[in-house]
Amino acid sequence: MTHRFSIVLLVAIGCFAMVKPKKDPVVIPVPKGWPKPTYDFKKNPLNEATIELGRQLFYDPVLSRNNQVSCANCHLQQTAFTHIDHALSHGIEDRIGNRNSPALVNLAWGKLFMWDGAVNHLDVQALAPIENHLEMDEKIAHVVQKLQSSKTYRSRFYKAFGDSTVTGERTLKSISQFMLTLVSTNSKYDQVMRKEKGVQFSESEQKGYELFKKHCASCHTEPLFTNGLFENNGLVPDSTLNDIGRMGITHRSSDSLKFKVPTLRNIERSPPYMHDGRFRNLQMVLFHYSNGIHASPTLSPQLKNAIALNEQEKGCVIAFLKTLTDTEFLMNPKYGYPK
Amino acid sequence: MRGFSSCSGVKADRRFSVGKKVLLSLVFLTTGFAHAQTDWTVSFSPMIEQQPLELNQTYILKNDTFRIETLRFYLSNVSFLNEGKTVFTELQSFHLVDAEDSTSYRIAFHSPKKVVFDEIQFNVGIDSSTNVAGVMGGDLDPTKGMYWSWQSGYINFKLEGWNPKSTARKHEFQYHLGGYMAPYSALSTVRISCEKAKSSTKITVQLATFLNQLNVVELPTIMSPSERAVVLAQSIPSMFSAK
Repeated sequence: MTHRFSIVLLVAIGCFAMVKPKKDPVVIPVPKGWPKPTYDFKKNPLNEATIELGRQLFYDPVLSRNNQVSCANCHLQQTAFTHIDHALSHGIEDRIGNRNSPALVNLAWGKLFMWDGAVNHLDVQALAPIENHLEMDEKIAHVVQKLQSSKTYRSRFYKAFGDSTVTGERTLKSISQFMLTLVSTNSKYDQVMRKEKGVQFSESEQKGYELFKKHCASCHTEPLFTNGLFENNGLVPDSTLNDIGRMGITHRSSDSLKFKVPTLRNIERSPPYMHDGRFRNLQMVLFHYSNGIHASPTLSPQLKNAIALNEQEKGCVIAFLKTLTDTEFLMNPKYGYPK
Repeated sequence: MRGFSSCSGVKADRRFSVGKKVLLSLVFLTTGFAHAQTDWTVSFSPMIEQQPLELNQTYILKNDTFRIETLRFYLSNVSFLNEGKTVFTELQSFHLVDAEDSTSYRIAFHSPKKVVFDEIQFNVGIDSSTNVAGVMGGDLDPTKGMYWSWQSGYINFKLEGWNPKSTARKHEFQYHLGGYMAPYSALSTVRISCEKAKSSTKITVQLATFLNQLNVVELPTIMSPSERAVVLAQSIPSMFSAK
């Protein structure tokens, strides 16, 4: 009987060791009328523990070489997960980057990331700022070492993955999970589109919406307010940066001076504007489209003739753009600094 | 993936009867014969002419003196052919060969069927669909130093070292060959003949072939997908041969 008992005991221990922490699956709801997300959730199924780990990592300066810069330094929730007040975002040791940090929102629908589309998948996005010498100046292998040596993180990885081994893959997939939860679908615009009771556009917002659909929506396509493509929107090249945009990645001259069309969701909260942050406010942006288009061979055909808007019409477009502000998203404690 | 870890099982109880043991052995033998399973290995030997590669050792090749500090490359989509027909294709076939880790030189294969081959085919590098599929683990984990962070994509082949003629800083040279997008795809396919019916096949990786292509004066570094990376990657298949 003794050996039988010992076998039973061993099996029991084996089973106990295989019990993984309970995972609460999370599903990102796709609002009615929205396209299917680009992100393949099957390869990285969301769950509460991994999202929480991702949030910890997002807000933790451990990702940087000197343990002082976190993702949130350039992506603050209240300002649409971007860095405001700086044309070019700054990173480790006050080094100035080459571009304006993009707002983080509705990333599950994104295909290519960064202003030039250099990053081809959300899961590898975080590698770029972690290893860029102007941003966090760290190596992912060293981040993994630092996390592995932390008791707190070992326990968080255990909760998320069922064992406490830290890998590059797990670290990045966790950050992805948190970023995927950053969904904004409750702006006034969304509520009006859903015909929610008591919510409607003001007269100027409605007029702005009509003008927007006519002049802007071919690139800033609803409901994501971006077509996800790369366009040359007629900015005069900045000789201090000489940024050729998408061409730097594809090496095709037809991509010269093209940048990713940014989403306009929460645009009111994310100045300054454009890849190099050259415009401080929305009035300057609209002035650019009406009066400042710089012609070059790759200029978007839609902009060959400047967008003719008078001052009153511009005011209406801006009023409409402000309806894209989603206060619930900007204040949601689930996206904020972890307690 | 490299590093199949054998399951550490529970220690068998010693008081199994002899009869049970014989029965078990018989079951094993019969299933073994019925499936005629095959286990074999392929090993890689980086060489510099007649000498096996030692990192950080000084070599003289023609009129060049140099040291190799890093040699790392991916092997993927490994398949075996017999008389022109594919007889075995490894699934999830990604292996990082790294001169700093000699265990990475040897890859074990297993098939539940009998496999006889006279040719081996593999890619040096990572195919385009894997390059756009997000983050991976194991040998493909981005901590392996074979992933470009600023522009998504794997480095297929990495060779770094020192040559006094190099015009780069500290006379170093760095060749990071990769790129999966047209027109700068640097993936190369190798197909080589080997001796039939061997359970271990040795493949020589003749680095002299590659080193002789380099021009460390004019182009001591390649760190991004480019036409020059594509041209250099074309010389990769000729480095491989089986005895």
